[in-house]
Amino acid sequence: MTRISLTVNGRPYQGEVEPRTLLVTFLRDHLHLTGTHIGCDTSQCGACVVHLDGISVKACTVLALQADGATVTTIEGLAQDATLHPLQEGFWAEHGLQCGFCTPGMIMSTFDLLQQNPDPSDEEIRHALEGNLCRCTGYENIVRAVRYAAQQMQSNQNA
Amino acid sequence: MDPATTYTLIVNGRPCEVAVTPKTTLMQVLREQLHLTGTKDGCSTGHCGSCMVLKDGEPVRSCLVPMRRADNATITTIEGVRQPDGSLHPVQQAYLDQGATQCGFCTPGFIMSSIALLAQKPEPTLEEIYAAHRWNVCRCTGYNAIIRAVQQVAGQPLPPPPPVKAPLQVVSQYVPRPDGEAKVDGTGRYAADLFVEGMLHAKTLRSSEAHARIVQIDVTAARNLPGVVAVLTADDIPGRKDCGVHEIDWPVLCYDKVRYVGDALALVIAESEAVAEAALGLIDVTYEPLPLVTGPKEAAAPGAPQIHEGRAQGNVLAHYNLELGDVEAGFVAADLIVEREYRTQTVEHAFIEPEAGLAAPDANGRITVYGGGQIPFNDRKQIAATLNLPEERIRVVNCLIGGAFGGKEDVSVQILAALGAQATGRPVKMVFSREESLRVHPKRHATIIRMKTGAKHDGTLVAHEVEIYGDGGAYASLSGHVMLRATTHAAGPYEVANARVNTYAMYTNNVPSGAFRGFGVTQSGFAMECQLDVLAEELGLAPLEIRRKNILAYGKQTLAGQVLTESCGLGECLELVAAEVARRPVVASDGDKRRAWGLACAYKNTGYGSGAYDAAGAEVELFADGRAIVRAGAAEIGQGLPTVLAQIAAEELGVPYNQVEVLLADTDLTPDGQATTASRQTYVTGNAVRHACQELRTLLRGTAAEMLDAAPDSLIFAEGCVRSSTSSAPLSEVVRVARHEGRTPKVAYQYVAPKVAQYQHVAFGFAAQAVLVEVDIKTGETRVLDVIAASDVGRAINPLGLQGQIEGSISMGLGMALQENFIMEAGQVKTDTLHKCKLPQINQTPNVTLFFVEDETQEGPYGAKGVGELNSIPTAPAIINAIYNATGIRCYSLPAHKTWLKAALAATPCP
Repeated sequence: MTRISLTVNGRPYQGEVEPRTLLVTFLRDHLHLTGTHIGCDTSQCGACVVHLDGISVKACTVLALQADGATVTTIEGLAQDATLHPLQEGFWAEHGLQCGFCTPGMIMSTFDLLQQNPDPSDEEIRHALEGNLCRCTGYENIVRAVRYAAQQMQSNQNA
Repeated sequence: MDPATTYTLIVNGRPCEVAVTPKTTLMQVLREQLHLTGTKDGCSTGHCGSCMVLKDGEPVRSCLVPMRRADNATITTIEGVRQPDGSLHPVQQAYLDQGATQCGFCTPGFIMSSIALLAQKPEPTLEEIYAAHRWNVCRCTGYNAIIRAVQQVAGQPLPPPPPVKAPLQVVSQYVPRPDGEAKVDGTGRYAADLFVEGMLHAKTLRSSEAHARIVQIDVTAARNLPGVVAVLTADDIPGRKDCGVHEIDWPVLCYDKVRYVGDALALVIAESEAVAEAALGLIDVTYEPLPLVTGPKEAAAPGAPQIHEGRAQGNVLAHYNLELGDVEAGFVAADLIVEREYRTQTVEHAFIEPEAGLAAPDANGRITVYGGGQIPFNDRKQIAATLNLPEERIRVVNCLIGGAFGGKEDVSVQILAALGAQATGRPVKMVFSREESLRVHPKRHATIIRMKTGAKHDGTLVAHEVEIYGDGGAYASLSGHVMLRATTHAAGPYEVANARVNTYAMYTNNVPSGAFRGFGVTQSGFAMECQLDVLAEELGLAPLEIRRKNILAYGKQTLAGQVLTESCGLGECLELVAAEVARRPVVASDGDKRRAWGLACAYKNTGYGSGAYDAAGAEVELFADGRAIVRAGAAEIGQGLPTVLAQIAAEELGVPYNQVEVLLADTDLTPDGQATTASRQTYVTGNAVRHACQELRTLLRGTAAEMLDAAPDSLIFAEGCVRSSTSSAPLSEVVRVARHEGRTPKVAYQYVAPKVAQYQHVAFGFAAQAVLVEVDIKTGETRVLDVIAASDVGRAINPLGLQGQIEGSISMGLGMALQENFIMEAGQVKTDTLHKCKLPQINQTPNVTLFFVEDETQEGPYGAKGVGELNSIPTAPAIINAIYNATGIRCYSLPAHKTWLKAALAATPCP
């Protein structure tokens, strides 16, 4: 067992993990942050996307040990003081979710996209979501949701 | 913390290894590591014996055994005592047969002690039974049934059970409890037995001051302790900051001031109980002490510090003034007037299961609260208000409840655990330590009762003036209702034409007072029964004569002016007791021993009364395999409600008793049954089940009539069949066909009791008791040898349960008369362990003879009325009267403890 320290959603955590423990396992089973989902264990679905030091990663491809000393943000850390992030609002308002299982990963991936590219085209949104699978929506409303969020974030910035 | 060591145990035949500190107790290992929760934790201090297990064949209280003394031990717990073929151990079976398990919390510990005894001594004497169970405490049964259970296994002769008037197929038959098996084999789950993945533990910081303004609560250090997930104060409460069953005056977490030492200041939620406990010590509270109010008279004094500021009535929590006839004229007409002052003490319920609960957010964001409250729907209402959620977002589910007696009517752990679950989004478990339980929950009111009574030479009561001061403590709880009942029953079960009662419930800085079996009638009834003996002596009458002269009977009226027209069997009770006493001559003086009988009567209302909305719902459903289920929102606290409801459903539907399942107290699945209080559930929920079954029969008659080609009204439901005069079909088949037709055989019925006038009631239970005491005039010690108890219960639906209710009630009365006293000094709790409660122990069990009088009440189910509280009322005054008859010393201030009596006898020696 190895001791790790990391910051998750702004709170410091410590834990004892085996070297082979995945970050997603640590988040879900040790910290009970179950908003990060496991859909495949093989890095196909993207339901487990979180941010590691600000960059989106599939938490099932990262060892918990690799996150030692890092800052992690999960879907639970996105809303500020009970106000939804524009992306969360967008997925809701534009029907970007149905069963909701892929949604946290979708949001965390597109969050990263909007940080790098605040005004993406539909093509760029689709490209950014190549690592995330959705079986319900057909992606159309997910693209609308991301556009909605981009507009909201820009108008918030201009305001 | 000490480092963990690995220990090896063989538990119920299976080897296991645990890694714990050497000081970890065997009980903790069994419960928390191995989840063998049949071993109960009632006090953690060795005073209750609920954690008794066999260690290498010897009975030990596992809470007193550190693991360093248990390494390599062979342990047998309650889960390991079934026979190899899976059937119950004879001791378990005997506990079921004799009604020796009620709430069931002490039962595993008792059974382990009994098994150890019978292994050593297959035919134990009574003294040996006492010795073997000296470390076990039971608060429900009064021990009589436990002794009978041991004697049954030993093959010793048992007294025949009290006869009942008219047994039906199931009603009025001796049947085992539906929940009995789970109580004798350790599988029954109480709230503290729940373990949920990922759960947190909550602890509350209690006030060190009995009355103070809160200047500051600094929780910074506690929040920073590793393992602490949240520390909540009043500022973190999203909704209503105060709670209460009726009056909302009790802060969930205090914000401006503290009013007693049980007040909650902060709630710590942490990964373990140990961390939560450690965090409590890091919270810094700055108080500005305020002057104390330590008693009801002090609270009423001019200039007394006000406990709830801004109340127009000051410290007066409730005041009742009952007037009947012309009391002044009554005293003028009296030939003799006596005036005395009586005092009753604060009494602790001492249910053996401390308050426990677990609140868990559901998958859909609702919060489910598992607990053990007497009013689950009211708990839900209070939790929802404090969490600022609609009531439907909260589900309250009762686990088995390890005794309550009125002490679990107020919401306690449930609301705090729910707050924790809401704040953390995780399951939160909370269990009060015994010390916390004693410190926090409401008690029986201490009272000061001034009674002036006028009588004619022949003993007829003509005037009665009573003033009652009750110590309500810091918050209202049920004080208003309790003191109302003290008022309406202030003349006991006797007619007095002219009366005045003034009752004051006062706020003080003591632990709040609230509901407790007897509910105010215990106190005023005690005073009245003593007063009658005082009067009788001065008039030269026998105690029996003055009672015969005045008891309530058909055509007589209560203090509230209610004329009794039915179901009043007190006269028969009194004569049964008198005749039995006459059959038992007593040697009054024998060395240092003085013996005498004492007499007392009582009556106790069934239901809320006084015009309150008194209702209960029940739902009954039949399944195609022939089973029935009763779903009712009422709480079972050990009294045996599931037995009664299953009996009624079985009787009405013709389903075998053991094919009826009873689901109680789940706010999602059962209709509201209101409170388990006021000896009301057999009456109200019993009626709801009866009516639901009748409607269910009507629903099925159509289907059955077609199947049998008979007139619907001619069909009879009996013995698992529906019968016409010529043919018959199994009920299961009728149910199957009805379901196929789309007629679901499920009926919910809301029973509403008849509304009555102010101070009046739908029915009363009546009791007469004679008690034989033996006082040692050298030591002052009083032993209660015999109790003869006759009770008019309307109908003995569940005779085994009824017997248990009466025997347990007598035990509580005995404790209150002779030894129990919850002591507070300057607002600080001195009675802070179960041992200090001085509960009656098994070697104090009197020989009890019962008579059931069944003077039916028309509206009750099969004529039944309430029995849960009735017999706890007359025992204490009967004992006090008996002590007077034996020694010439009268106790005016309970308890008649041996040190007091010894001193009194030294001052006034008896011949």
